[in-house]
This record gives sequence, C-alpha cells and structure tokens, in this order.
Amino acid sequence: MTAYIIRRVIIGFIILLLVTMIVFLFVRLLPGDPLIVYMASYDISAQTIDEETYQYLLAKFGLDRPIPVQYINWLGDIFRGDLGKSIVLQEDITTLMANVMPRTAYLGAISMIIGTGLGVLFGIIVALRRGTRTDTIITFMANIGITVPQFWLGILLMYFFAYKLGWLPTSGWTSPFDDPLMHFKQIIMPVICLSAAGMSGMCRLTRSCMLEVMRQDYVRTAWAKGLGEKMIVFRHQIRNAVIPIVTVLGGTLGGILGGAIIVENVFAIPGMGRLMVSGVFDQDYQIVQAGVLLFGGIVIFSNLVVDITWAWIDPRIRYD
Amino acid sequence: MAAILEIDNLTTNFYTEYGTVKAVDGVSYYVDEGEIIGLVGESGCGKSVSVLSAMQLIQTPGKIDSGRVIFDGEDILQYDSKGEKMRSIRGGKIAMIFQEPMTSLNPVLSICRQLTEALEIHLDMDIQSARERAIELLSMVGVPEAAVRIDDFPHQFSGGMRQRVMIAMALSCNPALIIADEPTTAVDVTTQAQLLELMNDLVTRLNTSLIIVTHNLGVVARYAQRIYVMYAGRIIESGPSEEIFENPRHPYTIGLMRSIPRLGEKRGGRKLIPIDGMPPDLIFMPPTCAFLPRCTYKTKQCQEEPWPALRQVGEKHRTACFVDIGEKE
Ligand SMILES: Nc1ncnc2c1ncn2[C@@H]1O[C@H](COP(=O)(O)OP(=O)(O)OP(=O)(O)O)[C@@H](O)[C@H]1O
Ligand SMILES: [Mg+2]
Repeated sequence: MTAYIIRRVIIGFIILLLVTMIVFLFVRLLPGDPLIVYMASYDISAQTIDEETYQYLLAKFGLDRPIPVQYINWLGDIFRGDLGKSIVLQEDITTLMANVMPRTAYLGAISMIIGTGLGVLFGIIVALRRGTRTDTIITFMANIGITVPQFWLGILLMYFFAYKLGWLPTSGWTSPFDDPLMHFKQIIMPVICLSAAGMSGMCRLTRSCMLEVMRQDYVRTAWAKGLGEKMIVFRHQIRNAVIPIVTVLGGTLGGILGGAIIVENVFAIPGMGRLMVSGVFDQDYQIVQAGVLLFGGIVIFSNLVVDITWAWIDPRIRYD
Repeated sequence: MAAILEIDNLTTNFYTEYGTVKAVDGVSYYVDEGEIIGLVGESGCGKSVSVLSAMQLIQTPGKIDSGRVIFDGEDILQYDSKGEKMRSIRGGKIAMIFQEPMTSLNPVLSICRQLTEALEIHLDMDIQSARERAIELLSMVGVPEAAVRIDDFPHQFSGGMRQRVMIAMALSCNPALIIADEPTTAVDVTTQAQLLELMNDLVTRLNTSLIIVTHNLGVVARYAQRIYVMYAGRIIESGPSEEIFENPRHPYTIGLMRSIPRLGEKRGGRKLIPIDGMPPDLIFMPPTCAFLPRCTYKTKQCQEEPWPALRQVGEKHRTACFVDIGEKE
C-alpha cells in the first residue's frame, strides 16, 4: 500500500509537470503580450514605447530568456514556495491566491457535498422506486442536468430568481461574517450551477449501480436469509453500489473546479476562477500558470485519495 | 410422517416483452420431515423458479400466479413477500443454498458478518454469542482454523470453501428444511463429493429435510429418498429413487437414464444415448405433451390429446405419460 501511494505520488508529479509545461508554452504562444496590458495600466500606449524600455521590461519580468529557461526558473521558484508575481496586477500571486482561493474552495466544497450527497440519495430513491413516476421525473431532470451548460443555467437562474422574481441578488459576493443572510442568498445560484452536473451524473450512476447490485446473487442470498429490506439496502446493496461511485468523485471535483471558472464569472464572485480568467485575458502568464498548477494539483491529489478510499471500501482491492 | 413442506399446483410465469414464459406450470411436490428429495431436469425446466417461488423470492417480471405452499399448516404464499412472517420463515425455518459460490456471498462483508446477521435476527443473539456460534458453524462444515478465517472476506476463500460457508449459513438457525439449488454444480468433482457428503451427514444428524435441485442424476440416486423429474415447467414423473432408477416410466426419464454413465459399468459396455432435440420454448408451449417432438414412444393418442396428468403406476410412483412402457424392456 505504501509503495502504491509513493508510486502514485510520483506519477502525479510527472502529470503535473507535463500539464504545467504545456500551459507554460501555450500561454506564450497565444497572440498578445502581457507587457502591453501592463503598460496600459500606466496609460502608456504600445505605440509610444521605445525599444529600449520594452527590452528593459522584458528582462525585468524574465521574459527575454528562452522559454525552457523561463520554465526551469519558474519551477525553481515553485519549489522555493514562490508562485511568482503578477505582471499586470503587480502583486505576489501567493497573496492574490490566498485572498481568492478560500472562496472558490468554499463554494467548491459546498457544491461537492451537496452534489454528491443529493445525487447519491436521489439515485438510491429512484432505484428503489424504479418504474414509478418519481423515477421518471428525477431521471429526466438528471438527464437535463448533465447536458445543460453551466453559463446558460446560471443566466437562466439569474433571469428568473433575480430579475423576474427578485428573490435573490443577481450576483456578487459578501463575506458570511459581514452579512450572513446576504451571503447565503448570493451563493444559492452559484452552488446550484456548480453542483447540477455532478449531482445529475451521480444520480444516474447511483441508480444504475443500485439496479445492477439488486440483481446480484448475494442480494438474493440476503433475502433468503430473511433480512428486512432496509438492512438489505443499507448493508448489502449500498456499499457495493458506492464502489464505482467513489471512483468518479475525483472527476466530479475536477468538473466543479472547471465550473468555478465559468460560474464565478457569471455571478461576479472574486474567486480563483475569476482570477484565472482575468489572467488569461490579460495574458498574465504567472497567474494562469499558478492557477493551473493549483487546480491540477487538487485534482491529482483528490484522485489519489479516491483510489485509497476505494481500497478501503472494497476488500478485494489491495494495492501493492 | 407429516409433510414439512407441500407445494400444491404452483404456477409461476414471467411476463417478458417476448411473451409469457410459463416457467412453472402447475407443479406439486412435498417433502417429509427428515426426508431428502431430489428435483431433477434439464437446464431451464423451472427447478429453480419452483423453489424460489416457494420462498417468494421471484422478482419482476416473474409472478406467482396460483398455487399454495403449505408450511407448518399455513399457506405461506399468502404472506406479504417482504413482511415479518415471510422473513421469519426465510433463513429461520427454510434455508437456501445457491448454485454460485463465487457470487452468492457479499464481496464487501466479512464471513463473520454474513453468518451472524441471520443469527441476530432469527435467534436474537447478541454480537458476541453470534460470533462464537458462527465460528462453531464454520468448523462444523469443515473450514480449518475457523476462528481465524471467520474474519476473512469471501474472495479469500476458494469456491468449495465458500460453498461450505453457504452450508453453514443455511444450517445456522436450525431450519426445518434446506433447499439446495444445484449446490455443487460450480465446483470440481472431488469438492462436489465432499460437499454432498457433508450436507448429507449434517441434515441426517440434525433431522433437517432437504430438497436437492440438480441435473445430476448420480447425486439424487445417492442421497435422495424420492425423486421428482421436471420437464418444461411440469413434474412428469415422481417416485422413490430406486423405483425411478430401476423402472423409469416416462420416456424423458428413460432418456435421462440412458444418457448418463453408471458406476461399475464396463467401459464401452453400454452406449450412452443423448436425448435428441431441444426442450420446448416455454413461451410457445404446445397443447399436447411437451416432450412429444423428442419422444420415441409416441402414439396417436399423444398427438390428439392434451398433456396427460400424472397417473399412478406404482405405490408411490406416478408418471405423466399415456403410454404404458412396460416393466423393463
Ligand atoms: N427473470 C426471468 N425472466 C424471464 N424468464 C425467466 C427468468 N428467470 C427464469 N426464467 C425462465 O424460467 C425458466 C425456468 O428457469 P429456472 O431457472 O427455474 O431453470 P432451472 O431448471 O433452474 O435451470 P438450471 O438447471 O439451468 O438452473 C427458464 O426457461 C427461464 O427462461
Ligand atoms: Mg437453476
């Protein structure tokens, strides 16, 4: 088991290395120039700048070196715990992230818990009531939930609940410590958007896993023993049904993090997703790189946790 | 001797999209206290469905359409299939052993848990005494180092060992009857013999009745006192084992006997003759005898009249055939 974890961690590092390498290269290949945005913030137009100043700025941000050298330098900084400095915002990325990441993590965690929790719950309910109207309705909604694009769902929710009904504020972010009620109202729609796809996928997966498990011989054995339905569902079926469910949790988390990029922009939430999008628009290489590193790291780490949990639930799996 | 379980005119159908599968069609049989009976027949003839129906373990699209299952003087088919009364019978008074040792145990629960849960609900044992009893049961069925292996998971057991666990599980609550649905089909011949001897020993010792469902005639010949032969959802012959073996009276049974080797028979002595043809499709059953297309004894009467009912041909021997196939040929 320890050997397995070590191997997985090493593989995780390699993947992370490759991902950051690709992103590092691609942000630099994109047309545009962060220095122009940087200068624009000082009201200097790109046309008026002289070559000398431009070269000076390039050197200042280390952009004059060949890309591989830049990458190695960046990596070295990372290992020293320095994520670099935003070119456009002129701030330490560590500080920037420390400010915005908690919001994303918070929304992500809530969405993850609600999405998986309700998804699994609904899945179990419809599996136990398969063929009934409850099953038809919930399964139909889950199918919609999987296919609907997040930005569209966000705008739709906004249109109805904020604009038409006026029940919720359109967008924005308030700290729960300043105004808990406002905070709560503001996160409702983002959380719905973030959790919809995961919840729907989870519901469908749970339903099919439960139906699969119900047909298994050992469930018949459990009935033949005289156990009651509740005990059969909870002790014999759910544990077997969740084994495949656990494996997709890593993917669900990845989906939520990716969704945060869209949802935070739709609802104007100053989180990691918003920071990354502004980083992309401004060609602020450092922010994009750091964001990808962080999200990638989270996804890889959570997948590792998932696989270990899997071994713990299913006694047949022993990693070595 | 009183019948411990009596199945009377049981009919179970599966309502599939292709039509109604008449899996069990008016089947009656009984088992006496302490008796071992055998239920034999080709694959798909409705053996499993008939015993699962008795336990009300048939799932949709299957439905028990008529019949009675008398246990302890009561028709247990009248009980709610998920209700208290039916549950106290399942596992408590009638236990089952299934064919597939690999899939019949829950892979994520320890052997201990799977053995103790029945003890807890039927015998009201607490966890500790249930565990002790489970260890006792495991060693009784011949699992070595039972006290250690009790905490293993099913995948750590071989097929034969798992089937021993199933036997232990079936015996755990001292049921009056055990139904073993092809308990040894999936294991090798040596293990098969060991398991059958074990089961036979235990049920004889505990005076438990046993229904062995199998397509292996050798098995029933050795252990069963009486035999029921099923074909296409019906019982077509029944009687004491020796009688059925010595003097089969239904062409299908005769065919079965000819298609199996006998112990002590000289090599190349008697030719083994398989039964030609296929059993009928249970959705499109002919109005006449279902064995007719494969029968070598058929007469004009067989082609004109509906499927014959069972009729007496010996003291306890009954057959569903018009033709009087003589004593021996
Ligand atoms: N769930 C089901 N849906 C449709 N038909 C079914 C179902 N279960 C059983 N049957 C039908 O019922 C018939 C009897 O099946 P059963 O399992 O009782 O056969 P069996 O005699 O036990 O055979 P085997 O020796 O292979 O176990 C089969 O022909 C089968 O097609
Ligand atoms: Mg069967």
